[in-house]
Amino acid sequence: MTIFKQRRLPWLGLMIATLLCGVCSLSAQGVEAKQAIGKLKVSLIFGTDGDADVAGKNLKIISGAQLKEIKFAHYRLMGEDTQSILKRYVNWANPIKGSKQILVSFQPSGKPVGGTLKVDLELWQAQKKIMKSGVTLKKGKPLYVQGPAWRGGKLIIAVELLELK
Amino acid sequence: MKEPNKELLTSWLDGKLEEDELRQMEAWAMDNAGDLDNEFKCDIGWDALNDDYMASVPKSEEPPYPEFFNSKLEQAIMAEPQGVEVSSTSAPVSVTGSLWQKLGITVMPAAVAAAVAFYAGMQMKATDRDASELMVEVIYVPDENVQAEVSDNLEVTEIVLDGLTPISDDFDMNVSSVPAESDAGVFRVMVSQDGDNVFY
Repeated sequence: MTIFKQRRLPWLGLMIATLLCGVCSLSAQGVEAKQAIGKLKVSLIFGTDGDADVAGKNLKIISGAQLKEIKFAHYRLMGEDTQSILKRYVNWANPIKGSKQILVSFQPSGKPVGGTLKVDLELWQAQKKIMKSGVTLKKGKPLYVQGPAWRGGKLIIAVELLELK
Repeated sequence: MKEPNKELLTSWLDGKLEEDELRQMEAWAMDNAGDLDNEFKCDIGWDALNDDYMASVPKSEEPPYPEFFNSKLEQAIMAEPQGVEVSSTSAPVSVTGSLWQKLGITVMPAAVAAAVAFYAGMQMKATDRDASELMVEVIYVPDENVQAEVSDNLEVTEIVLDGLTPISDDFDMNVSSVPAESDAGVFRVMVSQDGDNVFY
């Protein structure tokens, strides 16, 4: 019995070592997956040709000079959220604090190349996905998505790559 | 024939040799291909001129010493019609065919394949470049009543979604204008219920 126990000990040690190696490997992969490769800002903008104050008082007035297709007379910044882009995670941005009415999820689908990053981007409205797209984000070149109507105008989701490592 | 000096080799490569000199040089070249490789540092070897060799050439690199081969093949091709004419005069060169004419016959398919592969590679690179400049590759909208239009220029990319369910005017976007600590940025589980994607 004693001999049997003695023989089992090396095997037990080997099994424990293998398990530890596996745990270490998974841990390392987890750390790599959580590696931030950049920063992304999601802004929610209200665009209207009517009275922009219906969106709220004292909202930041922003310019829509860049916009060609999403053209309105007035734009107001409703909120914004800046998030790190984690390497292999689905990241979420919530431009309206305290509400999940509009959410944006994004996950890198490749490595940064020449100042650009491909991401799988999803827009969510009232907890339902309304759009999914593979987009290439480039620093200094924002993506604007004209979303749902609200109070006589449209909600515009702006996605901007701020930083890329 | 003894090992040719550099001048003779250069003349041969330039297609300046004729008759006896040419035949001797080509006979030497057939027997001393390895030496020729070393001399010109082209690291090819005649035996390697086949599909395996072409397959081993990395796509990102040009085949080594392309001008040399191209020029010699060109010379062989140009010489071929003359060879037919010359054969009527029973010139020895036309009967045996030059080394490069032989190589032209054996290498031609590989050369054509290489040219096609090279061209295809260039096209693929061009396509990749175009794809990287295209900011929106594909748009999926779960609701069939929603239309998506993309506009892209140097400064901005725009997507217009038409047909989305409007948000109730009663909904107050400024319900929490105080920048609360964002709970976003954390991955969450998404499940599908009856075809709808629901966020938890």
